[in-house]
Amino acid sequence: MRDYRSESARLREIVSGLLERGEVELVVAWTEGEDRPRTRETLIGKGREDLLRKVVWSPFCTTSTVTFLKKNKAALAGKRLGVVVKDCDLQALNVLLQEHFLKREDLVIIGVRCDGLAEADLFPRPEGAEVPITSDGGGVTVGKQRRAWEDSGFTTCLTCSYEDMKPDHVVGEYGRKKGKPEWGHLARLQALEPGKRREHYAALFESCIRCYACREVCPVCACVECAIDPGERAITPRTAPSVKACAPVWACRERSVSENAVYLLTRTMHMAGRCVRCGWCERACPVGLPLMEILDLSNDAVRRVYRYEVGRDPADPPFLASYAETDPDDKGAGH
Amino acid sequence: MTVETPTTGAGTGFEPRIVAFICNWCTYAAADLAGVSRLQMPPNTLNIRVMCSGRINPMLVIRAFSQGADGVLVSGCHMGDCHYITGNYYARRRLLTLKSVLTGIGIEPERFRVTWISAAEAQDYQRVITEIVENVKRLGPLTLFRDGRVVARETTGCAEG
Amino acid sequence: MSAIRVPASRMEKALAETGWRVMVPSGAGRKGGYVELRAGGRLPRECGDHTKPSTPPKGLVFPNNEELLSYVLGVKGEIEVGPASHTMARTVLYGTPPCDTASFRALDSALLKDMAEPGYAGKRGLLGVIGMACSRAGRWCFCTSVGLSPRSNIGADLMVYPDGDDLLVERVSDRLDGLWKRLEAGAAGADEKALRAVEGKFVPRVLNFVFEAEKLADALEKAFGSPYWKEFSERCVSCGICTFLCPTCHCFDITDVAKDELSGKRLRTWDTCQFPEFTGETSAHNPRKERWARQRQRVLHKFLYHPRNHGHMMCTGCGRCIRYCPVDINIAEGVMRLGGSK
Repeated sequence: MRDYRSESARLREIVSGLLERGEVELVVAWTEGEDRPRTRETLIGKGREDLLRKVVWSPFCTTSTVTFLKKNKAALAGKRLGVVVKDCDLQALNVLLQEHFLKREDLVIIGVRCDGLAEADLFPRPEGAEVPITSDGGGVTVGKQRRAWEDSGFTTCLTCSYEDMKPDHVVGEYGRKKGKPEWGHLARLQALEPGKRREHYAALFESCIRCYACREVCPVCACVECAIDPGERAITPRTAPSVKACAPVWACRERSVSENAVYLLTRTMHMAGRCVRCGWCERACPVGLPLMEILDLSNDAVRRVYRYEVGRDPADPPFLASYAETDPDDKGAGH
Repeated sequence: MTVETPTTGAGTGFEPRIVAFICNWCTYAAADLAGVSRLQMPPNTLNIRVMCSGRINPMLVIRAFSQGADGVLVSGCHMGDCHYITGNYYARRRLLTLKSVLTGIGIEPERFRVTWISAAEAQDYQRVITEIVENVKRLGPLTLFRDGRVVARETTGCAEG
Repeated sequence: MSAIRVPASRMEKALAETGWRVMVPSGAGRKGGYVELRAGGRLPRECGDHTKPSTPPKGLVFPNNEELLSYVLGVKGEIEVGPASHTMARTVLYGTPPCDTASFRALDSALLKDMAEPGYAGKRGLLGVIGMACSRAGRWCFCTSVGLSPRSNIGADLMVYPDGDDLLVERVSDRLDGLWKRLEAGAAGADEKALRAVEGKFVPRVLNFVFEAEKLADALEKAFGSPYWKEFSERCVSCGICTFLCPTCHCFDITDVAKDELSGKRLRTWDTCQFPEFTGETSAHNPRKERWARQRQRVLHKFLYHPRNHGHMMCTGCGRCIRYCPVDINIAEGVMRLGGSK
């Protein structure tokens, strides 16, 4: 049985210690929101007792602090930061470190041992100042409401296998056996005829409304300028064709199967060897697209064909920026 | 980039449109050799010469399909023979990951081929082109991007500029 | 007579007789939209936060992908411009909660008033809205703070109050008179008193977010330079969820899409003030480069600029932007913090 109130207290001690001792200037941590048990990422500086008091760690810390770092990169540049991460966040952080998007020496990493996440909206809004949140091998309990892990809205957590990553500080202990990556949903789809599969994915592409939430919430989708966006370039009559050619329109704004497919397939390729399967894109999608069904197509190849472990170590080479002489060749029709 | 339906072709049936990205240092020369050697092959390909197979961004392939290509070929130098030492190694990993994704969404593996053909292998070039055209002819037009063949105005502007 | 009492089955029959397309909330769990009622399908008997779909009804009359014109260049250089289709099947929206019903007032004020936008006007003229009083407020609802209530009929053509197996139907506008006449024939009239008695069942519950509407605009105007905007939006990821799912947001982008060298079309798609390139100028200057400036624009447009120009807020309190925000940005919290707090 894990009691997240005591683990949150321990986390607060570590965070306030780091700030007090001046080891870091700012800490990115989850705090309790207005709409408990929802949490939100918050930037905490020294002396912000009001925010520090609200620092929390629970299965409802469903957002990624790494996304926060990515989004506030310019503002936080050159500052020494503490960052509280779950296992999947640390995995994503390692991907960004591999790509030199962030500097390891700027960061103090506080890892929380995560047993899985739960959708806050499935639990009633708790009354009272202190809400006991506990979990065990079977599920999560908030006050009197209990839900099994399988029933808590986070399918990717059920197959999460990350553990014992090496952060600088650790909070909590695992209370549940980790799962194994599982590709059953892919196997079911791949058993279909290609034509049926095309229909399935065309329906997925068609429903996309291009709000780009999947891209924006993704902790590793960190390009400063996305290939899909028009880009910020001044085009004047004197702009050279060579300059214009550097900013082609890969996907136009039309909401159609083909243009949406260009967006989603491109994203899938850009995520090859980088996707940590945190599943946040799928949960954020406002029209409920099963985005893991498409991302897992590259995840499956990366993990099973190339045996590449995503984000294990900041010193590993990125998947697409490396190669092996033993990489498989195109087997023509029989790939 | 629009892909025109070939005006010549055998019979009245479906004539596939194949976009072939071929490396300047090997496959392009092989295609040249095939031409001067008068090797017969179907005229359904649109050849695009690139400086290295490592230059092929997956988006180029995806975009070709979405613009109406029924098949795409990327062909470069044999492993170890890259003019730029390792470009084709990177290309191989990248493009075969793309192939897994495209196969996954139901684009038949015959429609997207990655081959290594040296400047001397004109007959291999002829065989690959014949194979891909025949296979895609058998599979029929690609239906996933059924509303495809759309080009953003800006893109055309770039191409003209 | 402006209100009648009819059995719910009669409404089903009368709607079927009109032959119009009937759209109802999908009610299919967390994420969905308004869907077409299949022939012989049952109309929803209640409405509330639990039946409210994630996507609002605005897409019916303001689609995410709309062709404004098409063109073909002839061999002699003449240009043929194809007529845009500003039409759709005659449609009735049934069972919209008051927040979604009222969204049509906001959309009309922006896209019909003063200068009608043909694409919107064409489809809006073919849409009838039958609103329904809301019997269950959700955790994120705050309609009572924006001048609406679970029983307000703003934006509706007919308003329905479920009462057991019966419906009390109130005629709000003349737009659906064809249907009204069918319902009215032989139906029992309902007087003002009966209407108020049933209406009374749809009372506002205690809501989580309450703010004072009157002083809000002034307070927000003063808060333009507040440092709170940065705190409010520091975790914003600049996705389009809050605006794409907003029943009243109506910003769009126009793109020319060339099919080939000789033909193409002009498209209108949804756009959002949250995208960095939304205010991007040709010179590459961007007046709202920062996320806090974009979030401020969203809040102020809804609660300051629009009320000043049109007399009502451009927010219906449906709570979608709060509920579906992936990073828990809460517009009601922000507004309460900046001066609307009771």
